[in-house]
Amino acid sequence: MPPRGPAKRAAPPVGGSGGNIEVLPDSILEHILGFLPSPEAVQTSVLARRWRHLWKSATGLSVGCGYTSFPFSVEELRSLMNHLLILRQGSALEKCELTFGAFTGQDDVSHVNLWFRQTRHELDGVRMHSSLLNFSSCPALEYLEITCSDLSSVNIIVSESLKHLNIIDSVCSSDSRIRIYAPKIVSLRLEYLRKRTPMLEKMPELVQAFFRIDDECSDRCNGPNYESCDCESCDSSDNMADGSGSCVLLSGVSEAQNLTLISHSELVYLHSHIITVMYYKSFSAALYISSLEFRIIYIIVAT
Amino acid sequence: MEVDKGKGEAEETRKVAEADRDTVTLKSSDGKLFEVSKEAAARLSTVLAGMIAGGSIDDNGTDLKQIGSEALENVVDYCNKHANSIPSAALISSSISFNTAPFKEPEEWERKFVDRLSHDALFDLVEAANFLGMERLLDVTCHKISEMMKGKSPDQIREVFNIKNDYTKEELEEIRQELAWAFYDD
Repeated sequence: MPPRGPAKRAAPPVGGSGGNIEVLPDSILEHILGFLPSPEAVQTSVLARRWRHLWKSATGLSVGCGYTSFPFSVEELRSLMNHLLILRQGSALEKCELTFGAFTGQDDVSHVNLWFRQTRHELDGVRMHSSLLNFSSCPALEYLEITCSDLSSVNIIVSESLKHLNIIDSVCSSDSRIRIYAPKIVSLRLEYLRKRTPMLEKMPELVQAFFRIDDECSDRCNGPNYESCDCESCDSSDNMADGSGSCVLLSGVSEAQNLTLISHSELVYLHSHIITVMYYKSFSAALYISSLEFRIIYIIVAT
Repeated sequence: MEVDKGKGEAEETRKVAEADRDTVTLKSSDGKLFEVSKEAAARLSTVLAGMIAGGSIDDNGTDLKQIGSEALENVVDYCNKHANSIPSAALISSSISFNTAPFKEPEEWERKFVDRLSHDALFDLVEAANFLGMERLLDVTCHKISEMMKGKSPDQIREVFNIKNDYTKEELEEIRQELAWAFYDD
């Protein structure tokens, strides 16, 4: 990347509109406000009469974002979110970015569910740092990104409408698997997940799947012989029997046209009823598998 | 019959030649001509894509009466730069190319592209992007303007963007009270 020089400032306004932003139509000003943190967008009300109500139609919501070290708790954001949603009166949203931290109060989950319900027809992007996860009340949700989250209490992620799902750098439960039920998924990215890897339900529309597995994943075999190992991670008969799976179960990606698997461990070992064995022995190298007829794949990452 | 056939063939050849051209010529409101990659124009602008598909592109310069030459030059510049910055297929595994978020942060070259513009040029470009249905350019320019507002007091924003405060003191006080929930930083 080329070195960045000192930040260039835009030239001072000369001629033309005299740098007057008010030459722009309301629809564009509303789009601009959609990029601001929502409290700042609301505060533009005081600029001049024309700005009084523009924020209510801002095309994006951005609440609690930009505080990477200490995200706000649900309780701290409650008043802000409730005011925003009530006063916006359901005007259309192109994107909605919510970042919140701990669930501290008893009512927190129901409040967050209420926010999702109220934004349901408009919501198509949520980035969150939290731990809930039933999105069946958001029939328009298409994009979901979960980053740096503690998902250890989550059992299931449900969304009938979701098309793009990224779960990155998060902690899953150590004793049960998260089931992901999202039949409309087109792209799926699971990266740097700790503990048990999620189990995927059928995703018939999947085009692209990307998995990055590192040492934090507990789905790995430490046995010396991968092919005949019967340790907990490898025992496939057990997985088949109870259907819950104790290996990394990726039956959901069977339709993927494009599967990328990157392992940071030395060896990725794949076997299933159809693809028996594939070795890949290269540090942080990628394995591309295209258009194979996957049925069930177990991925066991061993060191 | 022979003649007709010949004519038909000639027309066919001309049409093929037109379709084969990989640039289109656009004409600004003040009559200046600009060439832009057809592929990039069709990919980045829903309006130009429609015109190209519908055959309403004029070889001698398609009239864009709503767009001045400075803004059109920036639009064309943006399209051509974009055409040169398509990530290679090899990047498929990198985290960047997989981002399907509703809005991707501007890339380095896009930042530089909007940073050098004066306020007026930026506002003209926003309107041109809006008119041409260039979603990405509209996002990048609006994002730039939002960055110029971010973290500033109302007075500072008014100064930067030349906004005249037409409220009375009493009205302002009333609004502040009404929206106290959003002024929690104060």
